[in-house]
Amino acid sequence: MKVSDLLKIDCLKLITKDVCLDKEISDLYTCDLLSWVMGHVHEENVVLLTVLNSMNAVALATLLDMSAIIFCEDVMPSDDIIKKANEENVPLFTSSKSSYKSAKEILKYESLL
Amino acid sequence: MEKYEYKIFSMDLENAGYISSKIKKMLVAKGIDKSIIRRVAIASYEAEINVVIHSYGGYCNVVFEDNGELKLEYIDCGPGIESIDNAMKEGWSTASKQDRENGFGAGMGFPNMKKASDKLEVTSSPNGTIVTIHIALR
Repeated sequence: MKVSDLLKIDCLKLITKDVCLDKEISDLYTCDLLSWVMGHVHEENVVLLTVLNSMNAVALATLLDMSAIIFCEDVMPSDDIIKKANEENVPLFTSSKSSYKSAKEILKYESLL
Repeated sequence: MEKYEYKIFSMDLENAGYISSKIKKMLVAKGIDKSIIRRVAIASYEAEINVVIHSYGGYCNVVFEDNGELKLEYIDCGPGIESIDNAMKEGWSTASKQDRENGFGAGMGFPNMKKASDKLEVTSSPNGTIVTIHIALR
């Protein structure tokens, strides 16, 4: 499954522009504590689902070679965060659903592929 | 030997992680193995964040030693770590309520640094803390 496939999932909305959506998705990880993610995500191309509205989520995604970040439950990152993500080529999505329900939707979609 | 110095400002959350991503880009340019880059990224990010959220500010020395080792020194000007033993424990954190709202304070900073580095040295007094991370690049 690729990041571009996330565009086909109803509850998700892409909020970055001109970022590469061609990356593979190896896994989904939901967490709101930065250092916890740092210590526990051991592979690249993971998609982070979080409600953590922070510039540091983008830094984390860059350092860990994540494929995308999904801000759940309508958490809307600031323009600065979106700008940084555009610069660093990290796709950002928002989701109208919780982390758990968003992940469920993604898995449901993946099972159809 | 190749050496770079970067300033780190207290509570500058907007730029926190900037130096770590600089270091990462240098390693990518040098063609270092991905798994090693990942370890450097984890250790450098945790150390940088600690200086930003816990200290009055400081700086970071990035040293590429001739023997192929990367040495990262994080030097701040206080207020120091009360108990290094506690700081090394998973889950232990002195992060403020505001830091926690920003996603910090998991109490994984030093444990992550220790796991990711080949050698970690920490000295601390009320006048400042020096964290030195050693990672072999080959």
